[in-house]
Amino acid sequence: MARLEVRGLTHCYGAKTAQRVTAVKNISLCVEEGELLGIIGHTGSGKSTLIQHFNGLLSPTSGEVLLDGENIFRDKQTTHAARFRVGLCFQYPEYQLFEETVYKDIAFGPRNMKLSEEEIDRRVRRAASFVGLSDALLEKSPFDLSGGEKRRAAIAGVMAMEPEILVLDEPTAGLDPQGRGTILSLIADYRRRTGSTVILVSHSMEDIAKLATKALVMNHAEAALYGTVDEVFSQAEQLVSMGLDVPAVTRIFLLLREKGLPVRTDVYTVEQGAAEYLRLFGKGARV
Amino acid sequence: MDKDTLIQFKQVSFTYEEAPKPAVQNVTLDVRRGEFLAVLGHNGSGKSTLAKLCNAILIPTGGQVLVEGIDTADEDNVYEIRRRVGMVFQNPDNQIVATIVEDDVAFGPENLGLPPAEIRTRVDEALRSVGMYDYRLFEPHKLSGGQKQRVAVAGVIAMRTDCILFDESTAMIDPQGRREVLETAQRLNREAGVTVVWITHFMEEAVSADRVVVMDRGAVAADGTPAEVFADAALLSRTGLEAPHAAQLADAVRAGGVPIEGGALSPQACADALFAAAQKAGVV
Repeated sequence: MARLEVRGLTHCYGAKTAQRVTAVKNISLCVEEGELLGIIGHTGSGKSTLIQHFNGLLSPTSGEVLLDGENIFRDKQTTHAARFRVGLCFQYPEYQLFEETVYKDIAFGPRNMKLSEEEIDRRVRRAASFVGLSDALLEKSPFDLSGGEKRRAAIAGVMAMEPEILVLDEPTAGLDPQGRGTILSLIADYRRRTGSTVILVSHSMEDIAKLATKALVMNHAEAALYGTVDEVFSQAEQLVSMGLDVPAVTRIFLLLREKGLPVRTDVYTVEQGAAEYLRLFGKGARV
Repeated sequence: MDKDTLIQFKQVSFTYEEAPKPAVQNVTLDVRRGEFLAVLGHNGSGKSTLAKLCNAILIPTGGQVLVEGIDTADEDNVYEIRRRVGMVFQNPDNQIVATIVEDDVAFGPENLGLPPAEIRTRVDEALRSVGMYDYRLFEPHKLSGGQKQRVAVAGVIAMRTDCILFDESTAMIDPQGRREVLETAQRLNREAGVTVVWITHFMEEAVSADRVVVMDRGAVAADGTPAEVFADAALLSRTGLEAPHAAQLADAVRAGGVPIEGGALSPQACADALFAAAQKAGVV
């Protein structure tokens, strides 16, 4: 059975007013245990609206959200439980840090779950280790951390709730290449260590290509493409036409194909690209 | 100072209050009139501090910054300096002050005390030049990140400054918005001769600059053309940067034994070079 299932979800802002806007239109998807679903789309395509339904922060205008087969909007209690079962980490989560120490900030979620002090402590330390924050940093004020550390502390705060599904909205936005690499590898590591289901919203096809098992591409509130990463990314031309940022390497291979070279275009990384190009010369890549 | 120099850094250092070490240390650098200068560096390398020193948001704690020969350290000069050097910041939501797009763009010129007709002309021109004229009566919060940044750019254009600093103005917006803002800056540079200082950690955005300066630990680690800077693998790894993926691909193919000519910095240049090499080898 699917861990998370969304059936025909539509969300309209201002549904009863003249400024009615359909932000999400008839989306259906299904995430299995342990999968990583990547959601891509440009600003305003409805990604953030969609994910706020997964833990019941927004309720659909029509359609259903099922967690382990159960509609989370069935009654108040079920909706409330969904808040803890699905951990949502917003864009620029470091803006939401507020406690005196990093430790207290990470403990905020577990404390709201009314857990024992021992359990809270165990969870805070475990989450801190997932994001690579040392014990010494836990006693610091979150405002004394670097930008990258703040981001990681905020993500740890959601991980400490030990949600069955972790949803991250643009976790690498605004970070430099090193910071981006750190966050992506900690997500991969978290999945490996916990077997948790993860949903990752990103503008970057490169990030999704590296981590995801499945991808949903949103365009004008609708699902433009949905399938395995390879199925979705084989439609590179279509992604370009939607104004999405196709990896530089993929763009190069689209250009080579246009020029008449018999190359594949489902290549995203430098390593894949070099191997595919050298194949023409009958060489294996020595990179 | 020679007339081609717009901003001059003379052995400039800057230390934030209570910081253990300087954010910028002994930097000597010229920004030339009419150039598109990209400043690269990882987080904490001092690139934003450098930008804020250019228009007297920060005053050097050592050395001197001159804008057309005017010293930024003299408080009486701040007005003259900001009329010459404008700035677009990182977060589009932090720099919009009005509730209607055209009022926001008019904010600067109004403060210059210009007559209303002149303000009207400048606002309309500025909005047209960033492609936001049709949105002049919109509420800014209903715009996308890229659109908000273009409104911020229009606000600086309406001030008719000689130079615009973009302090990671694309870091918080999506790929499409990034392209819009970068293309706007490139067009202003090319067509209106506005000097652009473009601070970024996206290597791809520096590829078409006239000149690239790499900042590392508060100092200038490299200063050259994009081709020179991106060819220096040791420099890039030392400063925590990476070459554009196109250049990395060309390098990997070279390592695989196929000679690829040129820097191949952009996807187009790389595809051209890869195609030429394939033709030469007769594999097409």
